[in-house]
Amino acid sequence: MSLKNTEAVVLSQLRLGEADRIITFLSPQLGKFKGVVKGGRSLRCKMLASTMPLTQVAVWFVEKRTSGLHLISQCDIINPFRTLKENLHKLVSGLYLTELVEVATWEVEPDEGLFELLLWGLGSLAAGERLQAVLRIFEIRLAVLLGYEPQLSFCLGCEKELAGRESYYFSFAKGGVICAKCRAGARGCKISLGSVNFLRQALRFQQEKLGRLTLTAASSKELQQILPAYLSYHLERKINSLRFLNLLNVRC
Amino acid sequence: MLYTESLAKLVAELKRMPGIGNKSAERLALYILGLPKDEAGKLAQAILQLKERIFYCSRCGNITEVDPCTICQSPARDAGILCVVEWPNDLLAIEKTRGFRGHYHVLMGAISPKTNIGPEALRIKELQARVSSQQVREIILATSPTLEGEATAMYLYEVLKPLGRITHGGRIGVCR
Repeated sequence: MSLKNTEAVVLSQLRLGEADRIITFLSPQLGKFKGVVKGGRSLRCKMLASTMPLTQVAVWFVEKRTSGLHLISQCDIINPFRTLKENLHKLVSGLYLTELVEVATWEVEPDEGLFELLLWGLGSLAAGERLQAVLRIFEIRLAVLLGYEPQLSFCLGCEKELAGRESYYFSFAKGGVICAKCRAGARGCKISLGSVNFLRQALRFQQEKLGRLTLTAASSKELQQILPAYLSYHLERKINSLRFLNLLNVRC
Repeated sequence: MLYTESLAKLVAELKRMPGIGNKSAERLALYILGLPKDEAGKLAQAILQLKERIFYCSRCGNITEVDPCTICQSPARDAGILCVVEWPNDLLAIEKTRGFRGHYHVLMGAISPKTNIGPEALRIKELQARVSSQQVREIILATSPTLEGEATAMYLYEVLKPLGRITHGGRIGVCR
């Protein structure tokens, strides 16, 4: 048993027995890992605030080699993303991002890029009002990190470059754009060239310049249907928080 | 077999209760075994009565034996102030302080997007109906200090906002 420390983002919490909590973290060095906070359900627990989901922390833990469930001994807040937790839409969007990461990753598989992407996502949600654009950029970049980068330059059927006059579809199974002629009964959602261009730019831009990207209302509506379904299709899992997020989008 | 059949059955049932492990279940079962027959009968009767007589108040959702519950019926309480809590045990905790003289509304949980518990699973429509029909002056949102509790409070704030103006203190109070 040895005391280790790492920077991490709290992904979720789970009750353990009467008094304890299991916390799931994402760290750049350790990937996704779980730890127990003894007495974590008590209001007197010193780590109550720092182990709240959607918090960037520095965590100290005693490594358990046998169970994979470490013992958390200290957890200090680096960034609480306070503004994210003060707005319902932002909060649910943040929970959606963390659920996506939790579903998409295996334990103890370090991925610095994924950690950076999550920090960017949570930071952008906390800072700005462009929630839909942030969510769509996060989804497409996550798809790339997971190895599901869609083909956005040419039709996957006839391999012709995308042109303005054609109508195009996004195929989940083929993993990219197909033209109306090549679609021939295959399942796919209609996608405009404007939306395709947004996705191309979202992949090409450097992370610090992503704030410049604008998403039109039409593209936002289109990609809101396509990208979450594309990720669900490949992850073979339903993302629970998406249902409540869509409910909030309808209300807005 | 370590225990006789009846004792094993009781230990297994007791073990299912929160905070009761194997040792505690064993100790309780042996204690019950040592009780006089009428005392053990009283315990069994109390458990059965609890299940038969207690239900949820149709107005506030509190656990009660009469409908509406004694809190909702009490003329000494101010029906203009409504305290919204997640579970009946939260209501009991506030009642123990003896500092609140208003009415309650129990939601029966909190919104948890990740575990697929949405607003439709809670008693929010009943709350809206109550606020619209009753002379409610003030609503106190007393959800738990967790992310789920905060999400529920923010959702209720959005839902109840059209019914009145916001008091000082932001999202913890709505005034009609």
